[in-house]
Amino acid sequence: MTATLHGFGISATLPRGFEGRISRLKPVDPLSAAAHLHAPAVGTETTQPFLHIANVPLPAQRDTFGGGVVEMLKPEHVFIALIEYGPECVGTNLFQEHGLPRSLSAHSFSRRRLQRIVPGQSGSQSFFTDHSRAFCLYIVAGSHGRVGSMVHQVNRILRSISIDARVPT
Amino acid sequence: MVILLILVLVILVVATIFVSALTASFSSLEARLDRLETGAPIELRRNGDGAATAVGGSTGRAAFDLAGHDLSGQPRTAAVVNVEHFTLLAFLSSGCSTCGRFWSQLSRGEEPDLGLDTRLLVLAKGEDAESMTALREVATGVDVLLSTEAWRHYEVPGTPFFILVDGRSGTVRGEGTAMGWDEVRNLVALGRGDASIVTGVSTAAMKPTSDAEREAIIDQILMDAGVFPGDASLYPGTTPPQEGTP
Repeated sequence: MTATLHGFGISATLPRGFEGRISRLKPVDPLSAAAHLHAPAVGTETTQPFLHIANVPLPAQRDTFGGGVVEMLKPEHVFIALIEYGPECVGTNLFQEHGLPRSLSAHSFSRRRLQRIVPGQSGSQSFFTDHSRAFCLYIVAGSHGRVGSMVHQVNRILRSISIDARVPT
Repeated sequence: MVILLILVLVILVVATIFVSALTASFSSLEARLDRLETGAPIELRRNGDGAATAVGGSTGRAAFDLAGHDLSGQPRTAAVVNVEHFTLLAFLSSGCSTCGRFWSQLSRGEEPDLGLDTRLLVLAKGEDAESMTALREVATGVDVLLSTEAWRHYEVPGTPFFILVDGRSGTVRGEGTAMGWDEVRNLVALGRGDASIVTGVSTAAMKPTSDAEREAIIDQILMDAGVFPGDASLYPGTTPPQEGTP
């Protein structure tokens, strides 16, 4: 039986052995919304959702780019993060690619593409726009040497992800 | 006349016995329903030796992965099948008094020592069957998976209830109720056949599968590097054995 995750306009079907969470952090400054009501010039702080999928248990406390998880990865493990950026990023050069990558190769991974260097691990980063939403797809493989044997499983998960048009915040 | 009187008396006695039996049966049924509705602990079948935790008769049945939400309503799933570890599913509710002990300890960050490769996963029913206000009060700081479907899948009879799943075989290895973490640890030790969880004495050094596991890891590393069985590099200075050669 496979499990399906759905929330914040993102959905994914997970193969056996994988689990996922879609989270959205609370604003660091909850008073900004109240301040905005009194003074519209004051911007409101908003946060964006992020999807985490891994074949290790995902704890409640995780950093957006996998802090709290990637340290636990063994060579056979993989961590996938789909992180949304604010609407102001849509149309910028960094996010000019269209659509979530569905077919990565072993060459998409490098030890130097890790957000945080962990010896032996390998990473992949892609920035793109999908349904007028800006995202970063960040993947960490537990072992650089095993990327070739796990990339098809990663692609299977990527093909199951769907992104809807922006949901009201 | 006397015969008629005796007959009436006999009928009266039989009717009284019948009504009493019916009333007793109804009361028992009503009490059980009350327990189910309030989520109060239900006494489960116990082993012959009267052990506090009961390994259910359905042990060995298939386990399922879980899907639901966390306490803030954000979606999550949990893999318990096809994983390398055991998972202890702790089914708790906000209304049962015994669960209160578990909630308060978990809220203080006091998780039981279940062994290195046993994951504790706390479950409560979803908002369709549980008071979210009451749950947030008792489960502050606890990472809970809310899923009424999980309760149905695992046929949870009441709370608190614990189910140990072996991720490698994808089956239930033990289940039962408990009054405290010590009893839960007994259930885990029984289900895994590992007394070290209770005694603290590790049996890892005696594990008969350790050689096989090491061999499998080395095989995988070699295959990841493109070295498959029969590769010439594995037989420096000699000829690789041909297929079918002993």
